[in-house]
Amino acid sequence: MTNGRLGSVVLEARGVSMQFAGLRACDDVTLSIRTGEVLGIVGESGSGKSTLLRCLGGILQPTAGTVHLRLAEGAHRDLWAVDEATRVQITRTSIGLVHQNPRDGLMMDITAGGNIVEPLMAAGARNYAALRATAVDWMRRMELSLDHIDRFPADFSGGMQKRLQIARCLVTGPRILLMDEPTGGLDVSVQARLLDLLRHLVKELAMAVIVVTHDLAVARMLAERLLVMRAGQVVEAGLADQLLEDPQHQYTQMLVSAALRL
Amino acid sequence: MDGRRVPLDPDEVLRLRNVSKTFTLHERDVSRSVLADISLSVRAGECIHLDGPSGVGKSTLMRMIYGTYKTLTGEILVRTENGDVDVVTADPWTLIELRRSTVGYVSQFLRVLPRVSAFDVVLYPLLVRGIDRDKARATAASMLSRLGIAERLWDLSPLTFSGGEQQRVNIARGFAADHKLLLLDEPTASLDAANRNLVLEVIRDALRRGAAVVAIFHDRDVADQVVTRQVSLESVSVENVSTASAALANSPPAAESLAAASY
Repeated sequence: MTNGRLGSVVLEARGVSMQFAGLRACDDVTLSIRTGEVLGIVGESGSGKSTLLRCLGGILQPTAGTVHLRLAEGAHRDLWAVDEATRVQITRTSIGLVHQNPRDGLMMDITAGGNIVEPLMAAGARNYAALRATAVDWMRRMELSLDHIDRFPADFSGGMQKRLQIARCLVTGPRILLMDEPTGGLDVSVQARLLDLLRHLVKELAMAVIVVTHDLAVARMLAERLLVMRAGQVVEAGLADQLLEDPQHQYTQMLVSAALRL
Repeated sequence: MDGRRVPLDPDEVLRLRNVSKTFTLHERDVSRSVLADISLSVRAGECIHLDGPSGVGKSTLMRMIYGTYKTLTGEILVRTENGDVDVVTADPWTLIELRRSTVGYVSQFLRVLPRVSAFDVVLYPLLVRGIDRDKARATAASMLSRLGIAERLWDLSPLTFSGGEQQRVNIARGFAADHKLLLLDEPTASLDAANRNLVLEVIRDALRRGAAVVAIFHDRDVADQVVTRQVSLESVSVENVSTASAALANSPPAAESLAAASY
């Protein structure tokens, strides 16, 4: 985004389906995303948004479909066609997944600073002075007070836990960031601050970002493109402002007209 | 209309051919035709004034050109550095690029995120256009100055500003990135005479550097100061051998339904 042009396709999912006993949580979803853009996935609870995100993030194997990820050196891999060790290695270095519940994305028994640099240590980093400097740098970028660097995330507010989790996801310099309800459970003022922070990061880091949210206002603030999901299927996709101001599908029209107007 | 696409003339920036718009509300099973068979051409350095009674579809047409409203029939060609783009058939990525590089849209309402400073609001379109940060900062500062926004306000969120100040920040943002096609929906509404003149001067500058402008002005006297050609939406039918229908009296469904920021 800083270079003014959308980059190449980073992630391409084709025909992704996820069948739980009797339930199709995702049904034949196809999408792709380029470097420098934010794609919003909107829909009501139970529409399959989070399931889809976990399939894209390499933590839930879809029953059908492919998820191709372009790696730093330009090669691409189908996340679900490689062996597990390779998949873990790819997801650890190339994909950041910000969970809806911070407890799923943080290690509650190590310090904030430890949480941030743990992914680097898992990849073999052992220079403790450098790791400490990295932790300090990310605390600052996430607008987290350095007083908290040696504290445990359990003592943090929801908004601080969310920012800590994002720092932990970004520290490895992933190609793509996946966020599940990034502003869920946060006060309105904290939401605005987090959205502003996220927008700056996308601009600075030239990443691709997928944001899952049920909040259309959040989707519009962050995303230039949207997908609307219903019962596991994509019912409409397009420019965010077009989709929200001139929705074509009956379901999208219902969703938009049901949103609170301020 | 036939399927052949005729490329834009060298000085043509925008061409609409046989463009129509119908809003369909599925839940209530109603359709409303707003615009029918509009054809229009705008050249570099021209400022077109879309005229016509309230509800005739002036803002609707503007939003169709920008891609906010989906156009299902006709052709909306825009000249870019990389060739002509048809807004009607372009994919979302192409439209995102088109907005970053070529088409600016300025309404009378400023929509911004809380906490973002006025300076950053104006800087943003320059950065996404790929302009070098130092140059972008200089341009943002110069635009804010030209529009009479005091420097002590630059670091504050424009959400704390008066209506007139917000509108001028909006203009500064809209004109900062030197877009070749500018869509202005009542850019001077509710500004006093002095500030209105600042805005008109910025529009004149854009025309001088070869931008094409499509504008809606509430006030005909203001319009006359910059407009080079009047296009009355009802009369489009007569002049351009097509018909414009003015069937819609109210705003279309779902328009302006979200209070969210759009940038």
